Amino acid sequence: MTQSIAGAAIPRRAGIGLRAPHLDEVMSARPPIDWFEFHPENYLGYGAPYLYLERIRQDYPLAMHGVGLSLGTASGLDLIHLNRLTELAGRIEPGLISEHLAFARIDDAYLNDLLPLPYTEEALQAVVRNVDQAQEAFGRTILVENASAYLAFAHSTMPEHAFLAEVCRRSGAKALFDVNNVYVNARNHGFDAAGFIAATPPEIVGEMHLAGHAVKQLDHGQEIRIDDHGDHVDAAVWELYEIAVARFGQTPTLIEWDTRIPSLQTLIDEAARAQTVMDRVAEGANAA
Amino acid sequence: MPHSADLADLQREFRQNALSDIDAAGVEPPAPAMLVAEIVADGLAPERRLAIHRNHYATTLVEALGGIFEAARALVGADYFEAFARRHARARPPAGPCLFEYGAALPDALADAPGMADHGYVADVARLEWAMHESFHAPAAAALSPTRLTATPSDRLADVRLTLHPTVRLIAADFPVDALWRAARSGDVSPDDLKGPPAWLVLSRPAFDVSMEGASVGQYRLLAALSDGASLGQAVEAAAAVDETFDFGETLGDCLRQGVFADELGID
Repeated sequence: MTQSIAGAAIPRRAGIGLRAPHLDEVMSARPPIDWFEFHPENYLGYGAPYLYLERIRQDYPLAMHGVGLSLGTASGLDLIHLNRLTELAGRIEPGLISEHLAFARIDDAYLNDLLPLPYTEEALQAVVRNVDQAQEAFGRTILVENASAYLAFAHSTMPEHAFLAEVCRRSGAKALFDVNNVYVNARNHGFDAAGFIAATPPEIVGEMHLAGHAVKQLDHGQEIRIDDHGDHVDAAVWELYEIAVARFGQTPTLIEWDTRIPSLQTLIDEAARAQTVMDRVAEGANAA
Repeated sequence: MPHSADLADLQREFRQNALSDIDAAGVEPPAPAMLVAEIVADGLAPERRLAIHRNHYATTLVEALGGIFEAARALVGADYFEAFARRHARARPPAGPCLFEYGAALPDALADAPGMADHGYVADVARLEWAMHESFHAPAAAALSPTRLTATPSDRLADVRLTLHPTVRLIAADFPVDALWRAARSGDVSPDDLKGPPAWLVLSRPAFDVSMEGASVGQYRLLAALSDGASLGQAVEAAAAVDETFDFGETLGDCLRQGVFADELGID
């Protein structure tokens, strides 16, 4: 009988998202994947999906990536939801726990979206307050992910990369560095994506995300990029990823493909490509 | 421009944005004033940017509902379902962050939707689909083993209180709703699918998949009574009253085989 690796740390290698259509295949066939990331909000009923997760955790390191905690909310965290998350984390023992630098809830209304924050002292304090409370409840540090935003606020007083770094500095949280989101935001809001990477302290990065996005044509020849996680990683994002690996080092990297979900093999191939980048950078560093 | 809105107020305006919609005349709702003032235009007007978020809110919920209520959606047609589901998503926003917990109110809302008064069977199919969804997401638990019942002294059996397994759902309809559900999903519906005897269905999830079994009216009444807190004796009486062919021993055997009782047994 294979030894259970439940509760294992996430290796500094490429992994993929655990998606509902693949649960049975992953549990039964045990494909060659280094680690999986799951959304806790799909498993909090402890129903059939959880039965798969319980089995899968015996064979693979798992990271828990929430979408509903709303770290950017001004009205305080939903403590019932936080409690459900800590209970799930206690049972699954994920190697990493992460959430988004965005808000999804205000007062008691759930907005089913990752909505943007202004980069202000006021927003910083709200986020840090929420991150502190979450880390206290989980009894460990979490990672916060830079989110894609389709709008920017005129009253922001700092660039996004500074907001991310300052959240981490004040709370002790690490960054989940989403390279695709940096690229989407850079194109949508007119800043330099490579500059964002160069300005991010390497020691705060604990994980990276890679995903595809869609380009939508608007009136007057304008374009907007939509972070829909529904495609292969864009060539420009692969280039940025290599720059990021060179700066941040070998980092657990997740392939996020949540819509128009392809075959498991397609995700495995995409992860292999990320691994190739990491290996190439490592070789280059060794040769230097 | 001096900033006047505090973060909470800005976030409340996002909420207002998500829950507003294009009206019947196709006119876009007015965008929240504070947000519009605070958002950088930069080639794309703030109203357009807010429309992306407004649309995303509704679209993801409509897709989630479409995934749960596939047969009901097939019966009313994709266009009607989408329009109805968008209104529903704005009228009844989610109460929590877990999407799998969203949709309980849809069957009743669909029953009251325009043009649905003469098509009550659609809401019945939707109720079946919600029950299947709930069963799928209900927690696993041990089922009652037959030995716990055989260990009970026979003179105390009538006073036994049983609990239904958390994955069990009971569905009754005055037509073969399970056949209509199947037909709708396969895209092959005919008026004949509404004809036929009433359906009494017992849903459960013994492992990973939901199973749906037809029950006699007696078995259904027994389980419904137990679910309402009746003692075994009272439930048997209720079952026998509606079903003259009711056989307790045989029905009990079926129930234990299907695993419809949770591993909890109380005696008054």
